[in-house]
Amino acid sequence: MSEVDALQTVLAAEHAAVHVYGALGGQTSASAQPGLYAALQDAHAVHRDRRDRVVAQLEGLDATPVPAAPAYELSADLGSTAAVTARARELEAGCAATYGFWVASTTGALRRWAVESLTDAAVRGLAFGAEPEELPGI
Amino acid sequence: MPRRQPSVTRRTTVGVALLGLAAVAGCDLDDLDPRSDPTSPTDPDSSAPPEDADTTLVAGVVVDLTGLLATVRAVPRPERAAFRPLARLHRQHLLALGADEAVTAASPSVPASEPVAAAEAVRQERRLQGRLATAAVAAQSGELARLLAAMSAAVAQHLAALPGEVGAR
Repeated sequence: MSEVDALQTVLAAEHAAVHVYGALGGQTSASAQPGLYAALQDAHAVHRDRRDRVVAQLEGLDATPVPAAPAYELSADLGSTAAVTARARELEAGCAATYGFWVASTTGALRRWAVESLTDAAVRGLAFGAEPEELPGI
Repeated sequence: MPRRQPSVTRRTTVGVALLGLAAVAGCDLDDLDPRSDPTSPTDPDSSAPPEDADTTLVAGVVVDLTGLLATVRAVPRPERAAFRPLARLHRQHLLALGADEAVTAASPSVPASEPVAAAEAVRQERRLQGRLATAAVAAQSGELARLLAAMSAAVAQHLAALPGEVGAR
């Protein structure tokens, strides 16, 4: 996989993460669940920033960034805290796996960014109830 | 007479490390050769054999992990209990790299008789996490890079999961 292909895969994951975190935030009350709401807002901001950086990186490589999909699959029942955190956990685990492939497909500064992103996803998952793993992202 | 530490040569350690990596990745040994790794960024014109660079890298990581395993074992009770998950993690990572029991039992940098404060153990764990990330960036093989990055992320997770009071002093 080339660096451009790897970045396009990461971008597709970031598009999904931004969409899903936006939806999860919309299901969460800032006053009733301030901790969860803040964690979702923070995750949304981090993935949005990473998406924008990946877009800029691809444009710098004269590649056309893949667009966001028209829609992303979301559970019909996101009415409970457990459902929201489970979806966020699943999302970060999926991102960690994507970042793992990104690490394997890049070198130098891009790989360092991928390594940092993998660590971020692994640690962020804890905020949504994930358990520490032996090898997150693999 | 001082007890003799298990003797493990770097060459032996690295040999089993690469075998262990193959087992973890579920791949053939040929897959670890960056020349056959489709994700490897190896320059085919490089004069140094790339597998030697990764072999040296893995040997250094095994030494680092072995040292940290000894460090967390030297944290006095009752705080030592909080480090058990990290000790387990380091053992699992050593085994993932193919280091055998003799290596995981060795304590080359910290004698067991010298206690290590919990705060110092946390500092060393943070440094290890950074070294694993740096090693991931330096790896010639893409698959080795992924394994080392996952190990670094695992240490970060376990540190984040430590009780808040551990290492505060």
